[in-house]
Amino acid sequence: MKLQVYVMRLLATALLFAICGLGFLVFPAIAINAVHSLEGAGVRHLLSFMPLVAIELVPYLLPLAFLLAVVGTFGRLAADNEWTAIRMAGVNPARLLLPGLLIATALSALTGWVAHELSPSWKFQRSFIKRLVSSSDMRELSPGRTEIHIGDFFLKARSRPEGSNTFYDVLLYVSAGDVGRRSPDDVFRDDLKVAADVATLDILEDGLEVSFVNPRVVHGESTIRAENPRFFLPFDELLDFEEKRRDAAKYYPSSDLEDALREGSPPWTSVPFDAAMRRDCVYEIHRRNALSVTCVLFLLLGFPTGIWLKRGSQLAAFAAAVGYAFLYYVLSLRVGEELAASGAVRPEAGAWSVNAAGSILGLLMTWKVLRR
Amino acid sequence: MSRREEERTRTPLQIGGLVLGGRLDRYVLSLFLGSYAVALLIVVGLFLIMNLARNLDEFLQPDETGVVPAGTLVLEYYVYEMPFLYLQVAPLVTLLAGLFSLTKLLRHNEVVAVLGAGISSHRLLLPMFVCAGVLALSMLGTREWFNERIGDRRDRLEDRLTEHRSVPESENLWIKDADGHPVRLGRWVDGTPPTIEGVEAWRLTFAPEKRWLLTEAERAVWDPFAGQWDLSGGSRQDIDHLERHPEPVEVIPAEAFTPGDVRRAVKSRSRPLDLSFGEVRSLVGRDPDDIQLRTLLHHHLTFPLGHLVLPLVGLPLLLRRERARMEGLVGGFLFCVVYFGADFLCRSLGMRGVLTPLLAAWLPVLFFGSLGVVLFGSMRS
Repeated sequence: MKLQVYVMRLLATALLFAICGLGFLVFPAIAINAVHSLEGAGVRHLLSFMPLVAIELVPYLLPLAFLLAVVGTFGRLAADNEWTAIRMAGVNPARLLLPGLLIATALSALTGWVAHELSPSWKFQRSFIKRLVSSSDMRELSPGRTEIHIGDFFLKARSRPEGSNTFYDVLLYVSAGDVGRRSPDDVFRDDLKVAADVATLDILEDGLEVSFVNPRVVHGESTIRAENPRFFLPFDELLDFEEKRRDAAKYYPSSDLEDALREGSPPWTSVPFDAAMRRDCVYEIHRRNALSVTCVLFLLLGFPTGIWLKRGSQLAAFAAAVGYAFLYYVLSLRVGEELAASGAVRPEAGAWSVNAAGSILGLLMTWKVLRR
Repeated sequence: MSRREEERTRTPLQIGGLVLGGRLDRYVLSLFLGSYAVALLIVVGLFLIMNLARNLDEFLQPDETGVVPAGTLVLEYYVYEMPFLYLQVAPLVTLLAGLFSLTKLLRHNEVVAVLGAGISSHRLLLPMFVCAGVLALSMLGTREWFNERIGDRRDRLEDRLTEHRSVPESENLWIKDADGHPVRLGRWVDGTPPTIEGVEAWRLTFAPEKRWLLTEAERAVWDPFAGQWDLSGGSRQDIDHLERHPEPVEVIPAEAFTPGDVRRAVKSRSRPLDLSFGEVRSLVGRDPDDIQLRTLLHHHLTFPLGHLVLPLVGLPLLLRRERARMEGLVGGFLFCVVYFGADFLCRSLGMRGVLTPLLAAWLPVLFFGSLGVVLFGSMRS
């Protein structure tokens, strides 16, 4: 019992260090990725975007941290000859796996909850952030900028006084489509092209009001000179991004998918399931289950690897862990889905195929180590 | 004295009491390079895992004809993407390599031995900083080289995998001509040859009087041999006199803009941080008022300096905690997080016009660099 508590303490410490270390490594990566994805958005939006990215990585990084902890811990035991001493004392070495199994079970429960319930909805919410950023850009009209291009709205001016929303020698262009405009003079349904000496933008709750001095409105083959017109441009129509459709199983929590399978139609439509849709839903549920129990698989792979490496150095453990994880995730994302999509095997079998193969390999490796 | 005898008696260059490139330098350098290789594999591997986890699903969606992209295409994309992933995190890799190397030296009490031999810790770490300096200098050239050689291919593959189409397209694209005047491209198709549907070039002139000129065409096709855009239905006129007959226009010369200029403009909207220094400079030349581009231009100069700044702070932090190496490592990591956080905060403020581009790019480097110099100088010698 004392020995198992000792191993449990070592594993827990190594796991904590691995999670913190990975967190420190991954945080800049997520931040860099967020900045790249959002084209230099404000800090507020970046900070709200980053958790949406991070949550999707938790089911992959948590097992990776556990694998790193397992390889590092058992490698340290082997390097310090504690492994040899334990075996020479007649203790069944398989008992040392029990603490790992306990931690793996707890981590699997957490990973499962994130993968099944949290990650799918948050994944979908990411697609809205870009629209939010643009809307915010539009509302804030960064000081000093003489060119604004957001969605269908383009404005280019020769100058703009500091701290002002007045633009001089302006070209305003609003592309047609679903943009509806109100003006005292007329309603245009084509592209709105206005060249003016002065344009002033007033940001309202739901849109932009633009007033001009000496405007020339280009409409077809004529130019209309109106007497200081004002146009109202609704945000909803200006920022009419093509929204991502939530018509895939990966965007729904598993509880919704299970309800849908019982009721006979997918959550995104009232039309009954066809074979492909049903297969996708079943595959998605089992894929998440397989991802949840990755920690147990990594225990079976990490334990013998640590003993064989016989080194307590973090670097070697990290390199081995990243190698295993990379191979596993590539195979599970590619092979499992291909097998299920091909129809050659049931979707459940496709989802569990890589885990099954990895578990057999892990059991073989573990048996070899325990047998020595 | 013969030349050979002269060479034998010549005193080798010494720094800090040690021959430059001597045994200790070579040992420390080999440690650093080994750690760099492993840190590179780990960090880039981690990024790859994150990228795969987020994108592979999307990449393997079928296109409009129902064809799923081949695995070799995805593999090719990641082969081309890896150098750019590395460029995003290169200073982080250098810091990790430095921390791991120093940890090894501390673990085997080699630092104590070196200090006991009368060699300062600054001198001990010199090879690492020389390496870091070389990496910083080469990073600019590396980015230019990769962008030039494989950037276009990478961009096309990414477009194909994310948008599931055979050639990149953009709609409602605004670019600048050589004089900085706005040009609207209704639909840009980057095929062979590149084509634009709906071109409108706007120009405000002041001589002899203030007037707006609009050059438009229904279609423009790039002629690579003549180096110009061949227009269909092209015309130019003063918008104050649209009722007059328009002046027919048959070509837009390459001096106005080329397909390369359009591709740069597309990239500046979708992946501005992947632009090379040369690309940003070209864009700034056409639009000097764009504060986002000007901030990026300065950032391209300061980001490589992270190779020096991060180890300047991280290594002394580890050396101060040689009995509590874990705390030193954690401190080094934490510092890295703070540095990157400060860097993107300042860059973000610069792009939004709150800070000037110069200040936004240089403030983190100057602040943390100064801190690093102080910490480095106060190390045990």
